[in-house]
Amino acid sequence: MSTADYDDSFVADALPAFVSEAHEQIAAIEQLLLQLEDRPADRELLDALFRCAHTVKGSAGIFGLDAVVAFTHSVETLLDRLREGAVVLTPALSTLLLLANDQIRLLVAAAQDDKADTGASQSQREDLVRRLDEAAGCTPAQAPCAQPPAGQVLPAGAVRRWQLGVRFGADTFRNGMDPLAVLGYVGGLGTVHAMRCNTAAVPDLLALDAETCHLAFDFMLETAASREDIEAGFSFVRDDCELSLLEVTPQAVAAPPEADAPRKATPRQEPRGDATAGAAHGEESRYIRVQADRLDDVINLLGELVTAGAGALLLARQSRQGTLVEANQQITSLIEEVRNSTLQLRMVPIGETFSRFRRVVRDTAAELGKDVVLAIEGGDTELDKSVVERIADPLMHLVRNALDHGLETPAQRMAAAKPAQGRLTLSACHESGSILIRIIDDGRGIDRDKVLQRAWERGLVEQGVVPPDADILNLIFEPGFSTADKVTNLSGRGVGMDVVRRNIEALRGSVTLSSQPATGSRIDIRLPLTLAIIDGFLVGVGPSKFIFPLDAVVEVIESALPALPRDARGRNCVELRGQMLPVVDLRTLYALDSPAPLRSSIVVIRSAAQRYGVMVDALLGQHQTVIKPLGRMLRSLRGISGSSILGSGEVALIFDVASLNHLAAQPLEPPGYPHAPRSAVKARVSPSIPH
Amino acid sequence: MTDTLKLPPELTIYTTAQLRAQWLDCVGPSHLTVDASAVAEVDAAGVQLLASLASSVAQAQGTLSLLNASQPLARACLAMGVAGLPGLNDTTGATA
Repeated sequence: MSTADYDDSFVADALPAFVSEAHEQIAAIEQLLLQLEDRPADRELLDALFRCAHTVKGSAGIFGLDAVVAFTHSVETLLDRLREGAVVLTPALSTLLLLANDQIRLLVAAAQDDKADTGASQSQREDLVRRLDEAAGCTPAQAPCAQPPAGQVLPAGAVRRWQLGVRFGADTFRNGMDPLAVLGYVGGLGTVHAMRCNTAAVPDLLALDAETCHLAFDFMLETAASREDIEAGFSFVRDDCELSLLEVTPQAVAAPPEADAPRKATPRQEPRGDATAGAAHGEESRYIRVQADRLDDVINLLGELVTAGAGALLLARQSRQGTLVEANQQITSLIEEVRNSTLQLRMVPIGETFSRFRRVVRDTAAELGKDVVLAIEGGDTELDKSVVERIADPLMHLVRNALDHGLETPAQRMAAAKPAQGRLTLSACHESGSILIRIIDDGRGIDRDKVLQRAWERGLVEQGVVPPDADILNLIFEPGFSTADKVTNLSGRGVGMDVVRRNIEALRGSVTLSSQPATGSRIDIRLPLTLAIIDGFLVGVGPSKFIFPLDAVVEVIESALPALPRDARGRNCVELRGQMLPVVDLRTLYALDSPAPLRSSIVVIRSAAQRYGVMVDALLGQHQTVIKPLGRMLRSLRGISGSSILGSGEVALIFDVASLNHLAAQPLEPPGYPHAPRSAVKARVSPSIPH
Repeated sequence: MTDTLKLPPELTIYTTAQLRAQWLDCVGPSHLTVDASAVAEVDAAGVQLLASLASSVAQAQGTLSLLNASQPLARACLAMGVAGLPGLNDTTGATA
């Protein structure tokens, strides 16, 4: 790598930005290649693909990453041949390009860490270059001739930013030229920003010769056109105008010299290329790159602000001064809006994560000799970036598992009277304040007997004991479980499924598995939309405070009965519009020893498809809830997912509606329930807050 | 005292010399309302003339506002980055 010629500090500063952008381009190349497999002749995809590769090559050139430039050049040459229609994209070629793309990724990574580029990968690379050149139809001897065309015909390379300053000559008007037309032409090359007319040199009316031009302009131009093309726009006035043209770095991409060669056509004859460049620019200007840490800092501060705001409101209410209360309420509602928009900043669509699996499915299926199509649904469903990041690995494992264990080979599927091509679906949707991610396959399903047999062998369940059906399947998530007949390098080592569950639970989510023998399996993952702040519904039981996620609350009913009726299984329940509703009595569940009030309320909660009630003493209203994790002592508390500090300084515990649902469905247990230490719920001090 | 100046349909290099002479009378320490609704054709020379008028009025301690700028004029001013439409006020302010 010949970075020696470059200023070291510049490279050190700008390199991470290059690497991150290059990785984006590489990811885009991968997606485009996969899309092209369905539509091999799609010109737009091919153009986009070429642009991505060209951008990587161009920016690598700036940093003197010769290895990247040289290798990407071969890829680009082949892509150019594809665009021309001289070469047709076959599945084999697609695989070759995917491998080449992996190689580019490796090389880009090596830019930051030299050790990443090993001798083995170098020989692999040489082999790839040879195959790429062969596919592009040029032998190594001809290679030099392939060089210039690659960059030359480029309609839209990378979009670059130029700072232009132009002072038109005094005779411009007299020569029949109109600066307005010139600016219009130049503007047509891309997008103009910050156009500013400098009229300082224009004399007043008395002194003005109306036919003398005194105008000067400064502006930014974002365009894919080369320096020559921009200068050509001024060619008619070039003789007597002062033009300064500066490229604005650093995200700019210096195209390799050949790209600056005069283009065959004027921009006006290539409206499509320009339109694309314009669109690309539009995309760019709508986004700002922000470091995730900064955003996290803001969100942490916001959490403090919410708590402090609640405290101030409480004090205002105690002071009984109407105006102060009103002012505080306004602040509170503003904080709420700020909170919502700030959290929105971190929301990203999950589709990006999903589409990463296209490649995984393609390669893994091929490796296993299976034919699988991946369907993605609800890719635009948004959730917190930190959740997305942490769900990617568990998803990967589940997808691989489905490919390895769930889906059958074409022969097996034919024998079972199913279509030869298996189907794997990744879907996402919002469901009462959480996101539901599903991984569905139409494979062979899970063999309950096999699972049970294995559980007995491993001692996960006592020999001979048969748990309920639903529980048998979920044994798969127990540590040290594997049903694979043979251990493959994909899955089946028995590591993972328990880790998957642990990771999901760490995100306050849940995972459940359902399966029909011979027709397929479905894994449901429920995750909270955000890990930071939620709208809560505050309730009180005696002196203790609890919070429900507001989205889960359906309604509240009054209960005047001192004791609730019980059903046949000994659960508390009430009748609500003709249906029996199981009810959790918090006083019993957590052994709270404050006396029960005469009247109590039942909060009706929705969890997945079920409803249940929770009996509470007092309804304290909506509450902006900053979620703090539970301290280690309280982590085993069932039905509770976190804690929050109220305005008064008290601690409220936040319910996990899904696990509380399980508790509601269970018959009553005697007081002194081992998972509910009495002291824990009565504790008035903060349960170890790490932040 | 308020004067009104009605701009002609053509505000281009072909008319600017003549217009400049006419407009000289409008410059004074009063408020000048420029009715720009009729402008159908405009070029950079025309915009330059307007800018010159604005700076002259400002120098004479007067004020100027541009009324009902027609589409062609508004577009030209935008493309040339002449600040502060409608009104060309910013230009006046900048040179005052």
